[in-house]
Amino acid sequence: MPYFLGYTYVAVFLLFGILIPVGALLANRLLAPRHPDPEKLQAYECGLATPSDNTLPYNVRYYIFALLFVVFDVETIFLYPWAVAFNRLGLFAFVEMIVFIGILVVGLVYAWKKRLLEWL
Amino acid sequence: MPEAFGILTLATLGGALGVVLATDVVHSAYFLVLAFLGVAGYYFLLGGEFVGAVQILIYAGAVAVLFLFAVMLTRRRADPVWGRSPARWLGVGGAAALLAWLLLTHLERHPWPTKLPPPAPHNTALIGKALFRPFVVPFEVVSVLLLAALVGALLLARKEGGAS
Repeated sequence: MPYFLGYTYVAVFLLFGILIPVGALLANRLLAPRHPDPEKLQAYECGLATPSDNTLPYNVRYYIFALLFVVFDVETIFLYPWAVAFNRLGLFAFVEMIVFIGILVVGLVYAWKKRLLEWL
Repeated sequence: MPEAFGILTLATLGGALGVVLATDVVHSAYFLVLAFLGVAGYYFLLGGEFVGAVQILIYAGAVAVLFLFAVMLTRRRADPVWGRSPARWLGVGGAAALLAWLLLTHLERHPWPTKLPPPAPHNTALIGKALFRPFVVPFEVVSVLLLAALVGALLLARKEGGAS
């Protein structure tokens, strides 16, 4: 099956991608001495005392960036088939894609002008 | 490719079980990514490379990020932790059994093809061609839809954030 043969490379990469961090953590667990005390278990040893664990509520402004990311991620998806078929599509498809991206750039300009991209 | 199917099924079902069984919502979101990636693997196995890429980029990428952000924004330490109470087991098990019963009774009746046609080669390029020949108007409408979603989401987020 020549189609799936290309995916053996993906499988090898996936395997190494999983093995390397697991191996690193495992080696750390096996080799490093462990004498835990409350001071050591803090997230940061220096500086201010950590006020709480990671259940601290985050600023809602992060969500704006997440939403922007989702919209432009969906836009990116449409670029894939366009790029793959680009040399057979001609000028019409190029102009259509420019229009597609242009309409979305309007949204980005809107966010920029409303100062939503700035950290206040 | 029964081995690949087996591995993907383990990942998908294991991820789905992890979503339900994890006591921390953040861990549930991470298990959901695993389940999404398993489903993406099925798409690749069926020859739908583009759909698989969409599944990874949109679901395992963007949707998972949205889930994690929503959890991080709303979680409080005082929130009650979902324990493993009998009532919870009963509710989860009952819902799962009902869904399984519905699916199985339907699957039995449906005549499924046992042999799939081989995937068309270069089908991502075929999608690209279809996108710009017969479906060019819907394609451009999608950009307007995305723009509306973008502006609407920004308006809502800004109002709730109460900033400028």
